[in-house]
Amino acid sequence: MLDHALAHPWEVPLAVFQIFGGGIGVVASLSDQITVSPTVDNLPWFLALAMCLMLAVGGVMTLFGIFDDGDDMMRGWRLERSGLILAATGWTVYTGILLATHPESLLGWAFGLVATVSAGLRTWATFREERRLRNATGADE
Amino acid sequence: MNIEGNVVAAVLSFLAALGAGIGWWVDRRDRHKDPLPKSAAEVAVAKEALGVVVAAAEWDRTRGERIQTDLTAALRRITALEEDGVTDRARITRLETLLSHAASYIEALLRWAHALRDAPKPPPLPTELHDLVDPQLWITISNPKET
Repeated sequence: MLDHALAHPWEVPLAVFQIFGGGIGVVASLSDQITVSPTVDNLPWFLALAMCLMLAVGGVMTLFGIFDDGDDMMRGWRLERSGLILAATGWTVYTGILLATHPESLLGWAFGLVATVSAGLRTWATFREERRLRNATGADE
Repeated sequence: MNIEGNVVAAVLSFLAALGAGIGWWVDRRDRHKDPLPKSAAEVAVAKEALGVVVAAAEWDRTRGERIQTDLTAALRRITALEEDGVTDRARITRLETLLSHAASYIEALLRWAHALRDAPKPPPLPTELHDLVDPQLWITISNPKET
């Protein structure tokens, strides 16, 4: 398990953060008393809920994919890719709302943008690795 | 929420739906793919690693051959330079010999000039200097015209 975490030193902590932040965001979007961020409060409740769910669920799926130890590599990649795409979507919405409401918050939306790009790059990397291994083993898609 | 806020919300909702749709489509495609056993993947990785080692060995071999060719060319040059050195040394030795003869003749000439009364004819020109000094000049000096 440690090997998997050390092989993905950026992805694992980011996924954990997504689960934590997304989870609190889900609760906050369903409650009037709790607020997670003034920016998220600017979103309609259903969009805030969707965004936080995507981040949280995406984080969970990403971790399940990374730490999958089954014999079939496709299972791990499938989980990870779905998680990354969900997370990238969530980060895109977050970046969009920050740009729309607080464009001066450079670090905020830049971080969201970087997280989106990172998820995209990692997704692409899994496709490349899959293609390489299928070519090497002669397995079909 | 104002109009601008509604537009932003609409755009972001569209992006969220688009991302979710892409995720669903990718997952659907992945579900229909053939499994990729880890054992087969390990063999493939090992084969690739072997390929890298073979390529590195080939690169080393090619580099070794190139070094061998450069070394041979360098040795050939050194041999040519050594031969040039031998030629130069021979030239230097010949020049030293000529210089020695020339110096000896100059000394003899000076002695002759000093003892002109006793030795009317100049000392003979050494044959080694015939290439440098015209022998006819010696003959002319040896047989001065009578006044």
